[in-house]
Amino acid sequence: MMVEPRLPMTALLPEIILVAAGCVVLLLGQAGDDRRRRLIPWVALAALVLDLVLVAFSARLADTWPALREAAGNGLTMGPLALFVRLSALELGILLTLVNWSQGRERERGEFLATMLFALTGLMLVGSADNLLLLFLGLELVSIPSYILVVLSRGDARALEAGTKYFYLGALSAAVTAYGFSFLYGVSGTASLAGVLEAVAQALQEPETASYGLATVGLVLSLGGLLFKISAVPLHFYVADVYQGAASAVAGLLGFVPKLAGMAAIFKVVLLSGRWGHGDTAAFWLLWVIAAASMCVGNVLALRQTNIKRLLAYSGVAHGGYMLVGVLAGPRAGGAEGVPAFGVMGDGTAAVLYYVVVYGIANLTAFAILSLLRVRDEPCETLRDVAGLIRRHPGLALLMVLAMFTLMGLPPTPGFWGKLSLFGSALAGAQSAEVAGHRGWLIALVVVAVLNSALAAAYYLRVVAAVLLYENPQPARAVPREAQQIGVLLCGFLLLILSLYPGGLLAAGKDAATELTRRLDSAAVTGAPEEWAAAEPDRPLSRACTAQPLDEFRVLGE
Amino acid sequence: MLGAYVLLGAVLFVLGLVGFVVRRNLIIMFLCTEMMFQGIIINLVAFGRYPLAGAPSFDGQVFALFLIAVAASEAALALALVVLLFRHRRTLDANALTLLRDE
Repeated sequence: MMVEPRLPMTALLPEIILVAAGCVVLLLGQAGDDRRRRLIPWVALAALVLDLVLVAFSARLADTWPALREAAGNGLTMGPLALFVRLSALELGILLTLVNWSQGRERERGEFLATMLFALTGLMLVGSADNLLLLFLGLELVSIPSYILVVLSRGDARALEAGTKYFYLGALSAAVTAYGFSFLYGVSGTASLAGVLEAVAQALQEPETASYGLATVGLVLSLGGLLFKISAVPLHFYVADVYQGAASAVAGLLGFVPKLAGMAAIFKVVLLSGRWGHGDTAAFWLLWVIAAASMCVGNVLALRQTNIKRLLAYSGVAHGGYMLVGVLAGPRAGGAEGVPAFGVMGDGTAAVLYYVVVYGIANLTAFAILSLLRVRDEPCETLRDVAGLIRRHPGLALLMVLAMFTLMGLPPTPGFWGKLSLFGSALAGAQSAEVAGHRGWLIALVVVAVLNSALAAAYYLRVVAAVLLYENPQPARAVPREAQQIGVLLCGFLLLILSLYPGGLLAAGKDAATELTRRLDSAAVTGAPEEWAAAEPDRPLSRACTAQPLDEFRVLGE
Repeated sequence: MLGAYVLLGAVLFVLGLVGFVVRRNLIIMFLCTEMMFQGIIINLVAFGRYPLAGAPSFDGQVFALFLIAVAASEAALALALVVLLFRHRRTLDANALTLLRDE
């Protein structure tokens, strides 16, 4: 067994800063006087901005702290995927801090913002986890704080009920994931993802052995538990209750932080099968059924809602389904000859990463606007509450319309680019799928997805119509809170930028996905049956390989 | 030997799962998730001792220790929620959580 290299402490600097800031915020929350308590959100914001600068300029800082960008060891890998997750977590974290500036009861604000910082730390750790144990701990560091955030966000009976429902189902799904991880560990005898990938990929090629069965059970259970995090179908019924019970700004957080963590973890687990788009695995069919079911069930349930928070919650279920379409396409969807690789259309995972961030921003914009509005001193929730908003607050109304169009996927908005790349890469994946049976099924899934996008337009347009067209003698009034208004403006600004220049974020997603392709390649080289290598000695998979696996590859080929 | 341990783990896990679905008292439901975690821990330790591939390793035992810690922090949260809920409405029946639902 190899001795793993040690991870330099500087590689974890961003996480350490966030945890330290969380502790400071926690202590400040206990301070007696208001003057010190007013510092709380500023400390959180400062830590997040400092972190963002540190991570964004990590290439420049490479001379002093090379480990910040590229390092591996102790079960963590700071690669391109970790960089993407960190950057998006910190950017969204700044928006979330602004939007949640004065969330919760005055006395509990320290606890509230500290738990939010801990959840963001967990998200960053999920991005860099390279070990089953650390992946699980990162996921729990996202989940447990989010249960607390839901309860603390309003401090009334409804938030308590929402938090309880979220917690119980979350604990159940965590147990299912951990049970799956225990089987994956059993098959491979090591917890490091590289070792598990090698052993599981090997086991899946020998049907009718004990290892084959345990590896399949492990993969299916791990994915089943993780699908809860992206609110996919079998455990979707909690979503609407949780979003409705939590304060709007926290519901905006729930649409991004657990979703990105869940998606990054799903990538890492699907990768363990070692044949993304290359084989008839149980994971393919599980994801196919759940993707189709999430899209249909989510949209149909959303159609019936008059409460905007519940409507957005069920639309989030459908968006989870759209994201799974990209997961099924896989990172090498455009690998086959003659399939044009336009943009990220050849890369389902890059499209998913792009889409999670765009969905997170649009969802947060909508919820942040709701959290600003009051009708008779009550938070705004239903379609009736936002009716005629354009008369009193044209700016907020237009931002709401922009968010709805993005979620709907109307052409110039970033949501359109996201859906185009998701569905386009699924079609490319259908052409390059090596199992003939998958081709038709992938195309069928894209048809389901496109029909569902059309269906979803119906309920998003109801919100747009309510905001723009309906008459209302007393429209909702925005509360004068500067930080929250700045947060909403920044969200809208980001959406506009992303509509005009979708390329930057798409390229970032594509960079992040290279890590997955690289790992997949190294597994295919060591674990593939010989005829693969012999039949196609110049497969594109040798492209990203390092020198050592390439040599092994030649030996197999000869 | 491995088979017996994995079977015991599976029995604990499935008992917990069934209990979670069938019982309606919030404390019992939480104890059922704890039972599922105990099943997982037995699984992990057994696989650490008798792995299907490679030599026995400590990864499983380390995983088990961390799972105990995670289960403990979940227990803390569950008890806090249960106390708050009981103060609000004097019952711990999961079916009584009906403030939030589809109209």
